[in-house]
Amino acid sequence: MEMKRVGELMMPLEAFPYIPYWFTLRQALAELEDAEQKRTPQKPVPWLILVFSAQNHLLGIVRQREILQGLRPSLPGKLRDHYPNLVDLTADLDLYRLGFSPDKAIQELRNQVERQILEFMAPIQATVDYDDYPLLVIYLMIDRNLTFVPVMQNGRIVGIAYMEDVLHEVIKHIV
Amino acid sequence: MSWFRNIFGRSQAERLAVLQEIQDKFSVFRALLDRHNHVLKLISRLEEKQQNLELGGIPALWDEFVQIRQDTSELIERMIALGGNGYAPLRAQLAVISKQVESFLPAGRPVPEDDFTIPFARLGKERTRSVGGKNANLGEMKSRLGLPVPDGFAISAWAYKHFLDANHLQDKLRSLLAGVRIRKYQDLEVVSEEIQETVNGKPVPDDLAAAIYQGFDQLAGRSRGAGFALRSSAVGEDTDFTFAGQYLSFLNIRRESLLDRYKAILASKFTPSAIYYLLSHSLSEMDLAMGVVCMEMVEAAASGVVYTRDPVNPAGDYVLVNAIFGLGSYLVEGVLTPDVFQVSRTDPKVTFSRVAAKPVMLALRPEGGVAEQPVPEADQNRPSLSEAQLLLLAEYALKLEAHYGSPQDIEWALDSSGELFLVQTRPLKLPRPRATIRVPADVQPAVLLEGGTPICAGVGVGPVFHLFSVADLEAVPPGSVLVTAHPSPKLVAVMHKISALVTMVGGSASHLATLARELNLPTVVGMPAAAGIPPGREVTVDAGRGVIYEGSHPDWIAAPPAPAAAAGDAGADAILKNMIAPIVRLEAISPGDARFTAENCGSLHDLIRFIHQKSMEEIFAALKRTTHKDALGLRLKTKIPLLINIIYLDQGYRASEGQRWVSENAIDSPPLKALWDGVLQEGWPQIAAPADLKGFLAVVGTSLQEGHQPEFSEDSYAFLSREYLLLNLRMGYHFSTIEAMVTPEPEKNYIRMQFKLGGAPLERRIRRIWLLGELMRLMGFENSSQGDFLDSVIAYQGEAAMLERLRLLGRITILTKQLDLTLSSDTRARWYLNDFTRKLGLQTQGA
Repeated sequence: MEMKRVGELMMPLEAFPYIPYWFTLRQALAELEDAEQKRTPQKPVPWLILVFSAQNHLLGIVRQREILQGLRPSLPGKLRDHYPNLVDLTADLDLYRLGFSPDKAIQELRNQVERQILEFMAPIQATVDYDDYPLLVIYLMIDRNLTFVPVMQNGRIVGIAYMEDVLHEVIKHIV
Repeated sequence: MSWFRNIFGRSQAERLAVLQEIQDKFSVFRALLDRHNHVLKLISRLEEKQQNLELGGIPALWDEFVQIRQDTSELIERMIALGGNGYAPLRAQLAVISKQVESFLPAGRPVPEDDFTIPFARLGKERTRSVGGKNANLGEMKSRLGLPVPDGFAISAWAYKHFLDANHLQDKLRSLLAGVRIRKYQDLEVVSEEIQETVNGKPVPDDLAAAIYQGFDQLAGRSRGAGFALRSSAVGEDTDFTFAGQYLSFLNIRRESLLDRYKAILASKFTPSAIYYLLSHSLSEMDLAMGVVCMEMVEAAASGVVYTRDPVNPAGDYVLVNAIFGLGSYLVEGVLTPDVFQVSRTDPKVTFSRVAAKPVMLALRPEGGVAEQPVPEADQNRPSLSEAQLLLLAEYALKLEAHYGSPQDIEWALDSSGELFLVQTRPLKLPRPRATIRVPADVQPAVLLEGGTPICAGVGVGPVFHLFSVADLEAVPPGSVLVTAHPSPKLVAVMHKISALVTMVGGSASHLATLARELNLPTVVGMPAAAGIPPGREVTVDAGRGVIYEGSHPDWIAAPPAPAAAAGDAGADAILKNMIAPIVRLEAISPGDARFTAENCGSLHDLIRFIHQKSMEEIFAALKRTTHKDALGLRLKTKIPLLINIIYLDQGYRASEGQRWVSENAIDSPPLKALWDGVLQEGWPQIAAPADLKGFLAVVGTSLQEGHQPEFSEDSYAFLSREYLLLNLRMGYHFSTIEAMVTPEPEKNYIRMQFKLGGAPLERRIRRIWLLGELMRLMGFENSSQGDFLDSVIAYQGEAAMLERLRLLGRITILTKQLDLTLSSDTRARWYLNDFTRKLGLQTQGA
């Protein structure tokens, strides 16, 4: 059995929600919620939003990770003074003592979600070709610490190859 | 040098010529809109008169027709100037419609030969054609009914003919008429004045003068010494076609001015519209024959009018008397509030009286003419008639009604000795009976809104339904009170099933008003606060008074009284009805209809609407066609990264003065200012995509390169004037065109937005069109869409409402930029619709 090329493994761009770069985090969240409802158990589409330029060029991708980053409440000033290192903060769970308030945090989030998605987006760092082998993709993913990589064909991005699918294909051939 | 010009664009002279050409076109368009508005008002006035039975006979209608026809003709010429010879068939259509109107006119009849002067004692109504209606009725009252009518005599139409013949005026008039260009009303006015001067300058032939003096001297010999009045008495008025003219009257004339006054009355018939008729029908001046009344004046202690039926309450069982001290002119002209009396039609009893304060009166001056006099304070609040006088007056009035067989409008005067005289009678025109509101005495009605402009009287009861767009017409429930911002003629589709119509804006002159009156639908316009009435709320609309009451009160509706006996001549009424239809009827309603063509315009109103629609399309196309727009205008200086060329339609070529830019603050066109305010309110993304972040070409949609359409190849541009805007915007992948006319007159105003293309796959672009269409609908626009093309229009709104919509359009322009990309499902489109609706503060149906 011949190993599939990455183009055969990728998900087409149409499978993902996409937004222009000036959209807000709130709009991105709404897109994700909507995509969530459309997920089927047979072929779950990963949580991913494509971000486009005014010229309809793919600029980057927003994953759950970037969304979470956007939703992370800022640290109260007192807290920051206390814990210059994030590691120390996670060790001490008594945030309330240092002035953390869930109500305030929600209010802050409401303002936060009106920020432009461009601030959170992960730019595209690498692409692979439609006819490349999954092994090359694995190499790239490890090398650049990626979970996905856009697939190019004839000079255009046509889909997204996802770590799980690539891995799955490789495993089929070695196990 | 041509290579140089090819590289650097057109020469200054060429640019100026192109600019001049579009500015000229635009000024034709503006003039056309002005004329359109004017003629629409004339049509509306005509309809109102028709509805209230105030047409005043065929001549008055003819006057109106001539003016409307003239305006329509001017509209057609402007349309041809604007849109080219393709519109020339409109001229033929106008001729066809005019012929149709004219075909209903009764034929002229020769002036019957008669004596020059005829005393009242020998006159009766059968001599109407000889002496005119007023003379004949005075004779009829005096000689046949034995009623007290001041003495007098008629100067016949035959005398008029003799005056013209003896002075060879026909030839003179014909030569004057030959020089008139029929197209221009002003020319008709000039000739009218010239003819009147000529008539006034000719001597009255000796035999006629002798007859007039003889009649006058005999009258004076019989008279008790009060003065004499000279009045016009139109021949064939109401039944035949004649010209109303100015109806001159001279009071308290002296013998020496008798002939001059007589000529002035004859001359007053040569109005511009009468002349137009002569020209277009090859008729003779004989068709302008005029009788004249010469009668003794009553030195009136009091005078007034009697209506044998109350025009406001024709079913009331009483005769209505209005009275003031002195001569009657102050009553007719509305200078004084009269005493009002009601006398029972069945018993000799005064059933109501309201005596007004009458501080002054008009009286005859011994040396001729009339003058105002103060009424002694003690007398000011005294009734102007005694009960006995009122009963006698009512008796006379009912006798006249019985004699003529229809309600009468009678003028009377009371002399200083207390003797009553009747000085004129004519058929009383009663308005068409309509339902009104009678609030029971023990109820304090809750007025929800008032101050609307009545368009068509009547009462409607039902739940309020707000119509945001004519696209929702099917949802209008039967029996509802329809409240809408948009007075679109398309509402005609539901007018038969709603109980009343209330629009937020609009005057009495609109196409919608025509339809409402035609269908007799209780309609009030100009009630902006009606937008705030909650949907489903039961209301009672009194359209005649422009009031909306809280709650459903069918029991308050006073049934329309039974129509009183038809006044006037049924034949004349039929002629009026036939004549008016090809003027006001409106059938050209939908521009999208295949039947919306010049040839299918069956009335002047159709022509006017057709031209209005086409003129907007033509100016739009002409402006868009303009080549090298980038070389004609100034750049808009803005932080929004859009290149917009501004081309002024009402100002000189500023670039020739070295100016290259216009700043946002210097936008001196309120429509663009409003739109741009909206654009700036939403603003551009605060963080621009980094320059080094070029991104990758993707296959999700159209790229700019391949989506390139030659018709949109130029930069964004705006054609501007104080009141007009045509903005073409290229924003990434989509193109939108916003056209607006915003003036203080709602009838002229409109906004049109067209939207096309986008960068996403067709299915997503169509979703954006749906979303935009919904937003436009919520703002009151009327949409039509095909694929990824949307065309939205709103019209007839007030200035502030239009500017507010432009502001919203500016915001929507930014909000929906590249939105198609994200509309992966209908759910997404709905989410954005809700989001934007909330953001823009638009009211949704049922909210």
